[in-house]
Amino acid sequence: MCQEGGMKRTAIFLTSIALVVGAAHAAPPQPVAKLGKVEGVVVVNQGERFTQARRGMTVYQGDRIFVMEGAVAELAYEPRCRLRLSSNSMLLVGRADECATGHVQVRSFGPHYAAAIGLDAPSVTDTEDEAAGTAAEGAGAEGAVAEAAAAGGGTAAAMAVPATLSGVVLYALIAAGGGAKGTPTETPVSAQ
Amino acid sequence: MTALAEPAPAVASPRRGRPSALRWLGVSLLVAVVAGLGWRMFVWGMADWLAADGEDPHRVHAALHWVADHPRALFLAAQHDLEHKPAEAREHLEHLLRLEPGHAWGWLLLAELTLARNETLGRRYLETAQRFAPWDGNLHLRAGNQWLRLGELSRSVAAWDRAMAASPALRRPLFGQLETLLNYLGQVDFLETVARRQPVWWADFFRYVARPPTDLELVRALYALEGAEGEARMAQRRVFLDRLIREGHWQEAYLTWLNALSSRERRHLGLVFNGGFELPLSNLGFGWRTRAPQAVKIEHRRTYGISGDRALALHYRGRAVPDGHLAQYLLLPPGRYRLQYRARPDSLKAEEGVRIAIHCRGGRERRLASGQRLLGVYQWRMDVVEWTVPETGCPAQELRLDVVTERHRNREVKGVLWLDDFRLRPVGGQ
Repeated sequence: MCQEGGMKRTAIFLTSIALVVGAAHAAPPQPVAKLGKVEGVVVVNQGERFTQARRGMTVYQGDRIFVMEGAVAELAYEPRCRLRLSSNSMLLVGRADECATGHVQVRSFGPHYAAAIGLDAPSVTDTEDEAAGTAAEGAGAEGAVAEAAAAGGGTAAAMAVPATLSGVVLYALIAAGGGAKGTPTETPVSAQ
Repeated sequence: MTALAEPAPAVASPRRGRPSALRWLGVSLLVAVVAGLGWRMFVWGMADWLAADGEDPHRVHAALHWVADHPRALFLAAQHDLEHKPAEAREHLEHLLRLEPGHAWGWLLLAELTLARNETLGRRYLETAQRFAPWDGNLHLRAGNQWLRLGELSRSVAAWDRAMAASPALRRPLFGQLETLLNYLGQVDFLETVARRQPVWWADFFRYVARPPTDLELVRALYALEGAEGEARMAQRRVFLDRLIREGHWQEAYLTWLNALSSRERRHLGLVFNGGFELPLSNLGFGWRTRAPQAVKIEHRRTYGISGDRALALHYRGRAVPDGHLAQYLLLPPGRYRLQYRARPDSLKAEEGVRIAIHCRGGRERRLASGQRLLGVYQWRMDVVEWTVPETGCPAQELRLDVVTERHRNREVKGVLWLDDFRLRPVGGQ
C-alpha cells in the first residue's frame, strides 16, 4: 500500500514536472526590445511571418532582423541600451540583457574593402557572437563593440590601396603570368 | 564634169612634217609616262611583294631598297629594329609618320621607343596613337600594357576596356590579365570607374573572375561596386549567390538574396519562400530551384481546388528523375518545425513514388524528415511533416522533392504532380 502510494507520488511529481516543462516550452516568447529608428528596408521574421520593420515594433527572443542594403535600424533595450544595426546585417534576437552584456548575435556582410573606400557596406564579421558592424551604447557593451570595430578597421586598413604602384612590376607580372594572354595574336600591321 | 576631173590642190603637203614631229613628241612623252608609271608600278609591286611577308627582316629591308617611302615596309622595319636597333627603328618611324601622320601603330611604336628616354613625350605619342585608332582593339590592348608599365592603372583599364569593346576576341586574355592584377593587388578600386559604366564585357568578366581561386573577399568587393542594373545585376547576383552557397556562407547568401527581392516578391516571404507558387520560379538563392528539364517540365499555372491564383504542375516525361528536381534552400535557426503542403498526383506512375524531404545542408548532410509518398491519382490532399533542426551541424536546410528508391533503383517517373500551399512554421515556444 505504502509502495503504491510512493509510486503514485512519483507519477504525480513526474507529471507536474512534465507539465511545467511543457508549459515553459509553450510559453509565449518574451519581448526583448523595441525598434527605434528604421531607415530603408528592414525585414523582421517573427515565427513564420516576415514583416517590414516599423518604429516602435516589439521584437521577441528568436526573432530575426534583416537590415537590407542601404538601410539602418536601431533597437532599444531596457534599461537604456541601444543597438545600431547597419546596412547588410542580420540579428538573431537573444536575451533581454544581450545588449548590455555585448553578446549580440549580429552578422554584417559586405567587403572589408568596401568599408575601406567608403562604400556603404560594413566589414565582414565571420564570428557569430560579436557585435562588429554595429554600434551599441550602453553599460558593458562598449568594450566588446569597440574591440570588434577595431578588428574590422584593422582589416580594412590592411586592404587599403598601396600608396605607390610600381607599374614595371605590374607589367612584369602580367607578362610573366602568361604575357601571351595579353599579346595581340595578329600582327599590328593587319590592323592598318 | 571637168571641174570634177581636176586633181585636188596640194594644200596639205607643206604641213606633213609638223604633225609628224608633234606625233613623235607626243608618242615619246606617252612612252616616257607609261615607262615611268610602269617602272613605278614595278618597283612598288616589288616592294609590296617583299613587304608582304613581314616575318623576314631581309625582305623588309629589300623592300625599302626598292621604295624608300613604302609605309608598310617602314613600319615593319621599325618593328624588326625596335629591340636591337632602336635608332634605326626611330628613323623608320619618323620617316613613316612624315609620310602618314595618321599611322596609329607608328605612333604607338614611337611611344614605346620614347617612353624610356622622355616619358612626357612618350605619353603624348601614346595618346596620339589611341586617338588615331579608336576601334583597333589590338592597339588599345598594347597601349593599355604601356600605361600599366607607367603605373597608370586606371588609364590602362580604360585602354583595355576600349580593346574589349572593339575586339570581343581579346576579352578572354584580358580577363586573365585583370584577374592577375586583382589577385596581386588584392583590391578592386582600379575597376571602379569601369564597373560603374557597366561595359558590355563586364557581366562576362564578373562570371569569369567570381569563380575560385579568386579570393571571395575580392568577389565581394567587385559585387559591391555599383553600376549594374536590371538583367546585368541579376546575372551578377546569381553568380555571387552560387559562390556563397557553394562555400557555405549561408547567412550572407540569404541576405544577398533578400536584397535582390522586389517589394512584390518580399510579400511572399516566409520560412518557405513563394510557398503558394504565386510567383514564377526564380532558380535563384533561396527561391525554388528546378533541375532536369529534360525529365520534368515544370509549369506555374491555374487549376481547380487551389488557394491563390496559381499552383505548380510537374509533368514527368517517363525518364529517370534526379533527387531534388524541385528544391528550395531554407535558413532555419535550430528548433522544431512543421511543414504543411497540398499535393494532387494525376496518373503519377513510378516504382515507389516521389516525396517531399528535408535535408541538412552545409554541415553533416542528412535527411531530417520526409513526407508521404506521392503516387497514383487522387484529389488535393494535405500532408504534414515535422522535424527538428539540431543546434549544430545543420546551418542550412533544403526542402526538396525526391524520388523514392528504397526497394527499387528505378528512378523513372511519368504523369503529373500538382503542388500548392507550402507553409512552414516553428512549433512550440514561437
